Amino acid sequence: MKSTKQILTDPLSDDNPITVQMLGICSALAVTSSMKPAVVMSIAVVAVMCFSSTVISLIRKIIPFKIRIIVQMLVIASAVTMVEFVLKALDYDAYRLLSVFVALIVTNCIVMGRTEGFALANPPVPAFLDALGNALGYSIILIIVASLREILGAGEWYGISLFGENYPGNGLAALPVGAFIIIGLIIWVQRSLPKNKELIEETN
Amino acid sequence: MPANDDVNWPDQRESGVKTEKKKGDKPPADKKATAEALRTLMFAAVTCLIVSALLATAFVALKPLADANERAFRQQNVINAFGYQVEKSASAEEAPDYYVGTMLRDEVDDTFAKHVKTMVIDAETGEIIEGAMPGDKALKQRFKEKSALPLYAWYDDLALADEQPAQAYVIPISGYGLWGTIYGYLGVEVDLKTIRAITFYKHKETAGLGGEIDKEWFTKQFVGKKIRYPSGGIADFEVVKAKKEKDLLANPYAVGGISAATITGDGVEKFLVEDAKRFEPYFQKILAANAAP
Amino acid sequence: MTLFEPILANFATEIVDLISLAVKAIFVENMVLAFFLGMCSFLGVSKRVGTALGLGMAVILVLGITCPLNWLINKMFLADGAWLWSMLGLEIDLSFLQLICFIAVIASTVQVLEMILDKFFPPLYNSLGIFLPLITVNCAILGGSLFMMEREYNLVESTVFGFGSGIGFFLAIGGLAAIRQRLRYSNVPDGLRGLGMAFILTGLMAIGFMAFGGIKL
Repeated sequence: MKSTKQILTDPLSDDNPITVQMLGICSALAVTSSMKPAVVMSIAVVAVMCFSSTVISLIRKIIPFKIRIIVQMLVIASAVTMVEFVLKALDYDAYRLLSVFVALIVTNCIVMGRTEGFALANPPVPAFLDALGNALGYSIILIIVASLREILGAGEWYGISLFGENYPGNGLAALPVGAFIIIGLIIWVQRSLPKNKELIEETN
Repeated sequence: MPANDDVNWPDQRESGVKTEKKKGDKPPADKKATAEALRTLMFAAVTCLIVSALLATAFVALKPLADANERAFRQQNVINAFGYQVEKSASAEEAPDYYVGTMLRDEVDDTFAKHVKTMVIDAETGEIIEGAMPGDKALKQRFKEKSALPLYAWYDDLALADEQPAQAYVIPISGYGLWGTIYGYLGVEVDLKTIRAITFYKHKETAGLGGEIDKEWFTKQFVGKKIRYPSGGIADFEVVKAKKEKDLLANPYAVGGISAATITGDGVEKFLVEDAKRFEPYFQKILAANAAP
Repeated sequence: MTLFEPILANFATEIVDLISLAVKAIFVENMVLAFFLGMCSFLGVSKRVGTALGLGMAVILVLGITCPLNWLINKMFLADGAWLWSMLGLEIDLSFLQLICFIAVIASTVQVLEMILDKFFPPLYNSLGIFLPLITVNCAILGGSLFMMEREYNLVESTVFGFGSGIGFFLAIGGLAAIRQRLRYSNVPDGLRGLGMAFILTGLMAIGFMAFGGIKL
C-alpha cells in the first residue's frame, strides 16, 4: 500500500497520467495553444476529478456491480455539466476559449481511470488525494506544453508579450503539430532519466 | 489507454456469465437474481433522479447569469464595431486615434439603452420587421439563412430616432475562413460609405496566423476605408497580400492581409462584400431619404 | 424543364455542399490530426495494422450512427422548446441534460454494436477485444456529437459529418499503424521508442494532412 504522501506525489512525475499512463492525451494537445485555456482546463479537471473520485468512493459500497461503469459516467458527466454552468456564468471569456473541450472532460480517460482504478476500492480521503495527485500531474504537463507552445509560437506567455511585437512567431509550435512533437520530446527526456529505465519499451 | 495486454478494465459480460453458470437450487437463485435486479434498478432510478434534480437546480439558478453574460458579450462587440474601445477597467492611457472613444464594460449596457436602436431587416424587401429582435427563436432559421438581418443603429439621441437619420450603422458579418465560420461586425458611417470599425469576435483560425484577424493591427486598417464606390454600388473590397505601405494607404478599397494566412484573408474579403450587399435594399432607402432635402 | 431546373440546381448545390462537408470532415478537420480527439485509443491500438483498421471501422459505424441519433434526441427532447409539440405544450429547456444523454446514447450504441458484431462477425469482435467497449469513452465519438451541436448542422449534415469524421479517423489510424509496423525494428533511441515515436510520427502526419487545407471546392 502506498503511503498517503506517495498517493499524492507519484502521479506528479513517476506515474504521470499523460506521459506514463498514457491517458488524457486528447485535451493535453487541444487546449495548450496558449496558457490561459490550459490553466482553465487544469482547474476544471482538478475540480471534476476530486469531486467524482470522492463521491464514487463515498457510495462505493452500495453501487451494484453490474452498473458501476454507468454510475461512474453519470457522476462524472454531472460534475462536468456543473463546471460548464459555473464557467458560463462566472467567467464567460474562459468558457468561450475552451468551448467543447470542457464537455470532453467526460471522456478524459484519466477521470474514469481513477474512479474505476482507485476510488471504487478505497476510502474517500485517499481517493480524493489520488484524484488530486493525478489531476495535478496532468496539469503540470499541460502547463509545460502550453508555455512552450505559446512562447515559441507567439512570443507571449499568458498574453504578455516577451519578445516585443516583431517576433515572427513559430507557426509549427502554434499548430497541432508542435504539440505532438513537444510531448514526444518530453517523453524522451523523461525516459532518458536513469531512474525511469523500466519505462523504455521493447519495440516500436 | 494502456497497451493491449495491461488493461484492468472490467469485462462486464464475463461477470454476467458467471452468475448464470451457478448451479444450485433454482428457485432461491432465481429469487436472489430478481432481488438483485430490482435493487440495481432502484439504485439506477434514484441516482438518475438525484442527478437530474441537482443539475436542474444549478441550471435554473445560473441561467440568468449566463444569459446576461451572452447578451453583454454581444453588446460589447457591437459597441466595438461602432468604433469604441471597451475596457475592463479605466486605464490612464488614451485610446489610439483610430477609435471614436473608450468605455468601460459596465457602461456598455447603459450606452446601448441610450444610443443604440436594434432592428431586424427583411433581406428581400429591406423593410424593418416590426417587433423582431436578434435573439428571437421564431426567426432562428431565417437568421441562419440570412433572410432576416439584425441591424444596429447609433443615435446621439435615441428619442429623436424617428425624425433624424442615424449617425452610424453596425451590421453583422460572417462567413467561412480556413478552419470554420468567422463572425464579426462592421460599422459604417452615416454616409453608408466609410467604414467606422470592424471587429471579429468568433473564429476558429490558427493563433498567430489567421487568428490575427482579431488583433488591433489588422482591424485598425479598416478604419476610414470605403465600402462603396462614389457611383453608389458596393465596392469590391479586397484583403491583399501585404505590399508597400504607400500603395495600401492610397487605396480606399483594400487592406493588407496576414502573411501566411491568405485563405483567411480571402474568406474575409468575400463574406464582407457579400454581407454588405445583403443590406442594399434597406441602405438604398436610407440613402434616398438622406439625399432628399 | 424550366420547372425542374431550379429544383435540380438546388439539389446540385446541396450535394456539392455535402461533399465539401465530407471532404472537410475526412481530411481538413480530421478528428485525430487536427482536433486531437481519440488520441488514447489511437496511440494504444496502432501497433498492428489489422487491429487498427478494425477499430477504425468500428469508429466509422459508431460515429455515423450516434451523430444523427443524438441530433434527433436533441431536437425531440432536449432543445429549447422541443416539448412544444407534445400535448403538454410545455416550453421547457432540457439542454442541461445534453451531455449525460449523449454519453448514454453512445454507450448504448456501442453495446448494441458489440452484440451485433459478436453474433455476425465473431473474428472481428475477437480481434477488437477490449477496445470495442472502450470506444464509448473515445473523445472522438462524443466530440463528433458536440461539434455537430456547436455548428448547428441539420440531420443530413450530421450524418455526413458523422461518417466523414469516422472515415478520417480510420485513415489516420490506418496510416499510423502502417508506419509503426514499418518502423518496428528500426534503430530508434531508447527513450523515444514506442510512445515518444508515435507522438512525433503523428505530428508529422498532422503536417501532411494540413496540406488539404488548401483545397477549394
